[in-house]
Amino acid sequence: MSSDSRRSTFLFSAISAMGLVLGFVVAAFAISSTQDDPGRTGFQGGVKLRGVILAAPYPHLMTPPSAKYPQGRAIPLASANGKRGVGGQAKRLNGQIVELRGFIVRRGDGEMMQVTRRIRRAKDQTPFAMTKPTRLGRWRLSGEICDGQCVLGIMKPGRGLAHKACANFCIAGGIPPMFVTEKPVEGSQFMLLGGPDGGPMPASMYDKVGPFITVEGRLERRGNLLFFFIDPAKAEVR
Amino acid sequence: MSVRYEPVLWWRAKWVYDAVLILAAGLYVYLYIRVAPAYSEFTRPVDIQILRMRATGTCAFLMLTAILCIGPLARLDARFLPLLYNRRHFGVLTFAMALAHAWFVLDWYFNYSSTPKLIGLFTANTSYGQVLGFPFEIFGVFALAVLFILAATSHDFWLSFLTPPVWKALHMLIYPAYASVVAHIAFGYLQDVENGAFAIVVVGCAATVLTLHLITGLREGAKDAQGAAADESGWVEVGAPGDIPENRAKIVTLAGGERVAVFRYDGKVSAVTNVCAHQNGPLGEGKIVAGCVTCPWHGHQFDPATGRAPAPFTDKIATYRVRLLGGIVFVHEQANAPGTAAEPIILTTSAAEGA
Repeated sequence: MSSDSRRSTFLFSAISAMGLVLGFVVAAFAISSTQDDPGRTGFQGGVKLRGVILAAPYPHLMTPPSAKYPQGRAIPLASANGKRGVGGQAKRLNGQIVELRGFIVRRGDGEMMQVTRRIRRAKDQTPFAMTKPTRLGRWRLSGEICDGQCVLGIMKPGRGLAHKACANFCIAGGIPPMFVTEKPVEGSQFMLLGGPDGGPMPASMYDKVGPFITVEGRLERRGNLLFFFIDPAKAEVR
Repeated sequence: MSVRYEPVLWWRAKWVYDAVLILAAGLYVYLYIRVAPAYSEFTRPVDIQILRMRATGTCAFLMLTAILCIGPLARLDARFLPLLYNRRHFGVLTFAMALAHAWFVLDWYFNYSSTPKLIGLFTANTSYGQVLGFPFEIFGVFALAVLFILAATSHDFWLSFLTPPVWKALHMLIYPAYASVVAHIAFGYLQDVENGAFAIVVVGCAATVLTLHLITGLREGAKDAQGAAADESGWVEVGAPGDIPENRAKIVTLAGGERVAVFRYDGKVSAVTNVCAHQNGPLGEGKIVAGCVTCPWHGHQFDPATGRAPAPFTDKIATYRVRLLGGIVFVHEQANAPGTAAEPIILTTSAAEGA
């Protein structure tokens, strides 16, 4: 190989190498800086709550009406220890007054408490007044079934089809699923899901977790939280 | 080229090649995770775990795209050949990047559960009957498995053990793997993002790979279509000796599709098969170095008159008989057994000029 040819090959290879490195630098900026915004989420640590624990359709705590929550506060519960629910403890203590410690994740009007310690039955079991559930009739709503924990802020982002397997994994582990509607319904975009019998969401709905769907079901308000008891036969991917 | 197997042979060009790759991939991941997000107006930052899986996943995709572009580019412009020499290291590094992506995904999306991560990967989403929500992870698993097989068998030991045709066929799995990666992205991440920038990158990359292969394939097809017919005695016209560049070859496609590389060197003309014994590289696109046909892919060498690798190496390739008649070079369509000496044409000055 002549020295001219060698020089030309070296120059071309050097330019190719620089082109590769530069191309990767530009691509890193172009792809990373155009990721979607995970959106605003909130976190509140060191929370202590007292109220009635209910197991169905998924564990949630009802607190007495207050100035901030005139209808009472209903907050879904999950374990702070990974992708696990607190269904076992909630069933054992169903309907009793308990004391909880943990932290709250929040996005928009949706919130969930991650329980950090074993749920304890409160010593004082004096009943308190709770607002009765309000039946809001049958609704056909469009939105996405998400696992409540990730969508509210444990993961950023924590929804969508890329996250579907994780969401299924969480829901199967007992994390309460939530339906996130396109537009607010009765003032809320986040509602706790349940099955037509008032129990947990049927397993047949796992295929519908992630994509944008339309589903029909019974809507109910308990405290400040909407409950959507969906009919799997009336669900379709849009 | 070696007579015994070393784990990996290193020389300066390889170090530089690998350093450039590691620099490009390292910079990509660092900038993606640490620098570029600062230029986004996020209300809350994307989780570091998700940034890691996105950075390594997109980097592996870009690396795979680059790997698949090198082959056709080298066919279209010989100056890209140096990029081809060490492509196996590029492949192994891409596998490492893809493995890191898989690890970060498992350690975030499939972690923190009593179900083992790998079981969760295959059981969490089983919606195989639908397009939206299809378990796109399976495409990634297939691509990663292929990249692992290719990385694990990239050493020359496997080439010799499996034989070049089997090895080559195995490594052609890179194309289904690439298609699988594109499907992995299309059914997964692209279904979620509102910003179309990454979709443009993915379509651009896939279109580039496809276009380059189509152009190269059409060019090669056109060459093959010009397959020269032999006369009754089996001789095929190559052309005047002056048509063959000095120390280079003219490739002739025989009627059966077999390609013959006819080299002019040192006042002589010899013909050998166009297929290198090492990895089926195109010998006719190489050149004569130190009196030997030198494969453009990995530098394997053969004596053009005997088809034998210089001692102590033992590789052999097929040779062809050649003759000069009326100032025209002819090659016989019947290949000699690999390593069979074939008398070269000795060119006179006037014949060498093609007069």
